[in-house]
Amino acid sequence: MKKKMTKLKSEFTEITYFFNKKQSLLIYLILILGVIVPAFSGISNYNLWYRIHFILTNPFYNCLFFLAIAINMIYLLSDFTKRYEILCRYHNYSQIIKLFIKKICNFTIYLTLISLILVFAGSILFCMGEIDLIKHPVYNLYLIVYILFYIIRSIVFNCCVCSIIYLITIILKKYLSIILIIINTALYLLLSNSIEEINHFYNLHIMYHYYYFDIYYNNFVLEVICSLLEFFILYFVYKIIFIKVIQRKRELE
Amino acid sequence: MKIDLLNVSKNFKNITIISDVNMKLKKGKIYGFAGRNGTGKSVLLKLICGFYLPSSGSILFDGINYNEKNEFPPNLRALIEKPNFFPDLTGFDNLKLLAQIQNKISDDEILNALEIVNLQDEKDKKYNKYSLGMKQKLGIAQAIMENPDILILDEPFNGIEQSTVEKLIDYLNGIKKSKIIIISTHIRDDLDKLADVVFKFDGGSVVEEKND
Repeated sequence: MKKKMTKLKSEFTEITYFFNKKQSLLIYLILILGVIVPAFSGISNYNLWYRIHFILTNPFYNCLFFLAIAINMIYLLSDFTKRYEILCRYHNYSQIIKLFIKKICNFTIYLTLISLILVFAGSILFCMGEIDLIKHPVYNLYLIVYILFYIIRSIVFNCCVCSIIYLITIILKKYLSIILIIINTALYLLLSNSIEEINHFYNLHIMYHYYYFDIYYNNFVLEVICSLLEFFILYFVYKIIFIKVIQRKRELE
Repeated sequence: MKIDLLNVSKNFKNITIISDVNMKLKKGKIYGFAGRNGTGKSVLLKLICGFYLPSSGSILFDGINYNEKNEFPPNLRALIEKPNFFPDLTGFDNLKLLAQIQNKISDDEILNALEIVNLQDEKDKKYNKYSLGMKQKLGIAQAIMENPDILILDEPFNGIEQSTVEKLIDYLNGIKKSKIIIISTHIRDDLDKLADVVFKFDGGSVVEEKND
């Protein structure tokens, strides 16, 4: 128990150390901008939960949020690949890649939580005291329950996607990696125009971006099943690229 | 334990930093890398650690090429460039975090390493309150605390007072019997006191200069 606590403390120390650096200011600014724009975009419904749901599923918010985690990932990797005192304590390349992926996931979760606090703050500011629990527009459940599911799914998908992108950046050249990150970020805006209703799991979208939009499924169970299938697809892609990456001989910097 | 560097070269883009280097490093000796700044000493140290891969040639540890297996040489510790310690943690806590990666030493061994570098009285001070010399001492402490078989120290004595340098020289001479120790510095006097064999770096090539 004591060991676990020390480990948790050390990971928290690492995160706070990193986010106290001046370079993290840009990340915070991007996150704030991502929340402010949809919060000000004239939503007719003042209900708190409706507003939270609206911002979370807004393509602009998601586009900027992903940009923030991508920039953070670049900062993080440029810092960690030079930490020789840590790296020389690991036995092989695969252990180091796993260490980096763990760090990326920790930081992605932290940024997701920060972003959620901003979304809550932005929504409370404009809700005019309307905090009644309301039902989801399509599913027979409270919107707060759906928001909770959406947040958990986002955290899992964010970690998977960031890990995949990190592994791809190892394989690709630097400029190709930057192009990939830009295209992937832009897809949050581009794909948001082609949303239709999903009425069977074989209609599920392969592109993970769709899971950040306000898409209606026939029922909530179908959405959960599609999300699980998408998670397995992302995990499968991650595993394949991971195996490819650890077979390659490459330098850390 | 021995390290063989066979025709090792390293290029970055089209610039050759290390050219066709051959070295045989054996247990029981302290090896010194001497040369001006930018002559490739740190690059060769990173090649030995496995952080860089040779553009050509190979580096063998007891006949094993760890680069081919995508592994790093075992039981090697290094002080290369400025270590990145956490500013809000004490010197002791920073070392403890590093020790937890392999979890094979106790707090007493960490304290012992701090004593060797004369940092025992400042162990509870936060890292951001450390002077440049104290930071360097902590960097050395992290490298020696786990009693590695191969110890690599890049410019270890920068900013450290003479009394600690002498204590460290005595310590390194005392432990060298069972280890390969490589020290890189541009200050030749340090190496003359310490190294059994000195390799001089100049323009990408390396010449063995002194063999006691």
